[in-house]
Amino acid sequence: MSNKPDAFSKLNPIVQRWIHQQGWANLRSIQEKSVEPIYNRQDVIISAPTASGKTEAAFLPVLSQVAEIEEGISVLYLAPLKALINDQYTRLELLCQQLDTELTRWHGDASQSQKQRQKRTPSGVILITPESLEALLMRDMTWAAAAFINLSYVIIDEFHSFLGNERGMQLQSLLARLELLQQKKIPRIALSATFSDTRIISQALRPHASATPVIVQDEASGGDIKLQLRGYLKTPDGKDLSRRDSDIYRQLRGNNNLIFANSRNQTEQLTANLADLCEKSHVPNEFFAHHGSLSKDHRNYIEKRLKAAKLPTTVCATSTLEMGIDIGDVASIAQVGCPFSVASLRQRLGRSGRRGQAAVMRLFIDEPELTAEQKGPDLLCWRTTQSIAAVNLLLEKWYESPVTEAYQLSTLLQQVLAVVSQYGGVRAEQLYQLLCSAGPFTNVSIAMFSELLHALGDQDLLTQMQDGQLVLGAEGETLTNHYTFYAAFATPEEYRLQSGGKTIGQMPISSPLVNGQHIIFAGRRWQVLEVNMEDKVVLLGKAVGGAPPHFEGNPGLVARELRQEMKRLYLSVEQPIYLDAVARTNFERGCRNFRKANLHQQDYFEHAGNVYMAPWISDRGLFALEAMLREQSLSVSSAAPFIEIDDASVFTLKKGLARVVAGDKPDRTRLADNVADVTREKYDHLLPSDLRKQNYASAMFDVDEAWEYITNISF
Amino acid sequence: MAKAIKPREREAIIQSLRAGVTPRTGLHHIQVGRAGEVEALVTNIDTIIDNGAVFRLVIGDFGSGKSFFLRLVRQIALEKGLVTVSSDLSPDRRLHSTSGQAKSLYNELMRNMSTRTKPDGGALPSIVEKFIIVCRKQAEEENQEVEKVVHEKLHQVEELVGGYDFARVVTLYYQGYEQGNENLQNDAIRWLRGEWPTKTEARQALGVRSIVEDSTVYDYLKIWSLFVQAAGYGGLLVSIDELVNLYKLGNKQARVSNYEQILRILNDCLQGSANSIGFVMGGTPEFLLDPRKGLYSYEALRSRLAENTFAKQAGVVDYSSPTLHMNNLNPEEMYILLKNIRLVFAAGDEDNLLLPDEALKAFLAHCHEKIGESYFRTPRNTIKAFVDLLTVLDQNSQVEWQQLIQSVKVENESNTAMPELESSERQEKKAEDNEQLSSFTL
Repeated sequence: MSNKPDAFSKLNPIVQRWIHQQGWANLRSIQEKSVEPIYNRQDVIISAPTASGKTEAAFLPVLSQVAEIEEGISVLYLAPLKALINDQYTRLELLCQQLDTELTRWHGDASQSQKQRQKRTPSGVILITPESLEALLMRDMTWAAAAFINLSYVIIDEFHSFLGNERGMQLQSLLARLELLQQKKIPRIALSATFSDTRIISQALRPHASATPVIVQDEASGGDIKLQLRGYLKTPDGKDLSRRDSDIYRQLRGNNNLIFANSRNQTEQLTANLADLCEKSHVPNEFFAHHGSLSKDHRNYIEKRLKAAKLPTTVCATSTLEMGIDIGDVASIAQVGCPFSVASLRQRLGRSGRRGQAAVMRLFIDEPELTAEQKGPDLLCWRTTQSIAAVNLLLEKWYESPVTEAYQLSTLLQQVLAVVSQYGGVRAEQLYQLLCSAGPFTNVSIAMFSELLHALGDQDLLTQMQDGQLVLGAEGETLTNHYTFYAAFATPEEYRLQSGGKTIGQMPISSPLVNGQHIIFAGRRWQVLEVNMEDKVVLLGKAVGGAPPHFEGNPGLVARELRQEMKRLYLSVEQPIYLDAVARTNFERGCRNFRKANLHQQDYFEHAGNVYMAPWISDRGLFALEAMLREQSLSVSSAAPFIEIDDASVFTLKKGLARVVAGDKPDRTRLADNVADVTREKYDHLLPSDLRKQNYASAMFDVDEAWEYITNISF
Repeated sequence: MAKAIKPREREAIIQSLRAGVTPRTGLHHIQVGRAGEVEALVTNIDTIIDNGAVFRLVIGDFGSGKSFFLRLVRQIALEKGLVTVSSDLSPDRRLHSTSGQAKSLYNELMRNMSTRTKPDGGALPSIVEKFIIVCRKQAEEENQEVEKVVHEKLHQVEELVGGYDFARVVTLYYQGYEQGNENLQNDAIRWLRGEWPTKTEARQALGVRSIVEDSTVYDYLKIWSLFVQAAGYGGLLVSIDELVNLYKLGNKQARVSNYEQILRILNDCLQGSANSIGFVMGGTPEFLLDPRKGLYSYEALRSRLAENTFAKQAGVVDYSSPTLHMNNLNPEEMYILLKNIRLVFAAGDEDNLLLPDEALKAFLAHCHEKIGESYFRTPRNTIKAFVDLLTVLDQNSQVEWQQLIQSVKVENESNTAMPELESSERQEKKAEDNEQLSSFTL
């Protein structure tokens, strides 16, 4: 590349020397390309798969630029996980030492004395979580105003994980508040997984930006991918699923691997099964569980073991290991159960095939065996089709975009209280400007905002002074003074699970436990010895047998494109080469039943006294459509990717559809009337009921998509 | 009867009033009403001069003239030979804190230290210098060594908490003065202002073990009160405004600690453990009365600060109670206030007025229509608008006042610690938002 020597020579000599020490012959393409826009103080999005040198692409030029700044914190690096911060710390430690730039970890578990030192003499690079930054702004605005006076760059890692959710909104709000505090624009650098919709991600980096960010993408096509989709049958005796487990055991043992399952339950069950297989074969166990409920010690141990690569280790994880925590080389990835998101499948795949090797992924997809009482959708073997569709889109480099229509009122409420607490007293229109008209909550109207403030006033979360300023009310004070306030997302109350005096993890209170019950946790089998309700502690002893406890969680919303690809597959019967014999049979069975049910001509079919609709639209469209049908007094239940109408015929469905179409396009909020519980996010319960409904509907219903679909089909 | 007003003074008054702040000089030209309050404070100042201690909370609505009143009191104190220190509280200036906000208040108080000859602050070095001069004079008279007199005079100070180091630093200043060592003098002044960041550095430079810290701010104010007396002043008046910032603290613990500090000051003043010092502090009614977040939420303070019920029943004001509720101006006083301002514009020349009396009445009627009774209850905004009006007339002699009055805008605005968002491309949108939310009430 022609600008190669140029980019390198622009870097600080000490940074150049460090690069030589690493033994790097040259900079990678994203590292070269990011130097100039970062030097120009533009907003930059660096997009590449994990382990492609994104961190260095941002930090090499940034540290070169700030090397001369002595007073105050010059760089703020934000990451979603403490583990990631610890990783980056190790990665940057030596470079920062050579540059004489201070490097400080700042999160709940980070060293107190280092934080104290920064409090006295702020300087260098801070690696921090959004929650800790929130605490700093709320508790210590004066310090933050002085400490960030020379802040030159904000780097956001795993930016894709902040899109369209509570933490992302909080992050955007925090950055707006930080810039307001410093009265200047601070360049933002986002490190992100690959994405397709440039407009949305640019908007998320800086809402209302006057200039679009510079996007630096990895052009390299990436290494080879080796894929296999293995099919199984779920039978009442579970025989074929044991075959699946022993397949996994056989193929993965002896190497470092990652297994991804869709829920914590499944993760636990699978790990326990695989550990049992080790025991049966009289070999040391090398299968471990890793998810958000496990204790820090346990997770650290596993991450270290993977990284050390001395003993073969296979980790069964949920999305926690999708992020770029350094776990060394992984031979292969196993995906158990069908994927719901292409982007997350891409992230998972990216964890293997580092350093030029081919990425290996095996998908283990089971379909229910045909039985008499089988539900209609199962006939279509949709899990297999959805898996193939997701892989197809992944190969086409298409990825989901976050939902941008949601009001995000739960997080707005948190931010209102946070800003009021930060400044002591704020006027209503100042809040609206900062957070909505010039801030991230763009969808919220003045009327909604006033209603929100009134609700806060009614609950004594806010009070108003005589001159109109809003200040915290007594309740608001209690709420904001508790450390749990800093997080925008809900963390359920949890039991601490202890064994032999050691905490092995936490579990949500929502799943009741009783003495003597056998459970699986951390991939091992336990018996509950004692439940202490007061201290919320559960004592466990070793046992055999048991089922995983129930963990809450949802797999996320499926996009329209994925559903459309499924439909295309059913119609074309286009079979990919990476299916094994059983998967092939499952796929063919699905396609055959698709035609049998006449789905190639219409989008509904009858089965066992129920009617099923197959609209092949996004989950949000699907939910809206369900709600519209519910308004016509049809007994509708969710059976994504289908809609199930109980005790009905095609005739009743058609009549219902006709009635919907005869009316006006339904109001989005009204559709939420029939939803039993519209409380989803952390502070939803503090919203007045109609705002709560609007909020729910904005996040969960795509009325336009549903309406477009329903007015264009023939029935 | 009217005295001429100097152009510089006229300019200063007009500019301050336009900005909605209290003028630094020439208060007597515009002051109206509140005779009882002023008299009570004059008595208090005499108490300070007689080695007594005074505690006053001045309570009044936003824009009702608290800050004006506090400045007036300071002016009177300066005239009577006191030293004054003054500051507003803010999110980073508090009476009590553990992370620098109390020290920051101390720094601000010291910056604003004033005497009759230096009424605009920055008087600290000259006060220390005056102390040295007083000591020299006495030494000459008594035929003693100056340093000995310095020691003797500081003896009383040494007995107080932190007083030993304070006395040492003043002595060092004297030595620097004698030796022509400016560095030493500067170091000593910096220490007295509370500007040494760490104890280690202070010890290296001055050999003292302590510096002014969050926890010792009040102790040093008491030391100052004795010291200024030793330097020949009447005593120290500490004037602290915007106590509403304590009410706004979002952390209960922090707020209560500040209220405890107020209680400590109040007790010291009422029980005679402080001398030659007066605290005059301004706050809004909600700061005092709010049962959950105000001073009244702290029981020990509530009972000490409660209004005199007998006086209330009798329909009179008890001007001797620690809390002084500012009477609102009445429409007549407001009228006189406008007349005074008109006269300031005319530089004191009754024959050169910009507006006839009927225009004042028309203006007041207009304000009444726009913002109701608050036009005289909280005069700040009314005055601001009036000064704007006069400025236009002053600069455009051809304009008729009748045309202008109807277009006068009177706003009920309030300032917060949050910076205003200013961005040209969003100006219009912002204006719209302001319209709809600025009158927001819960």
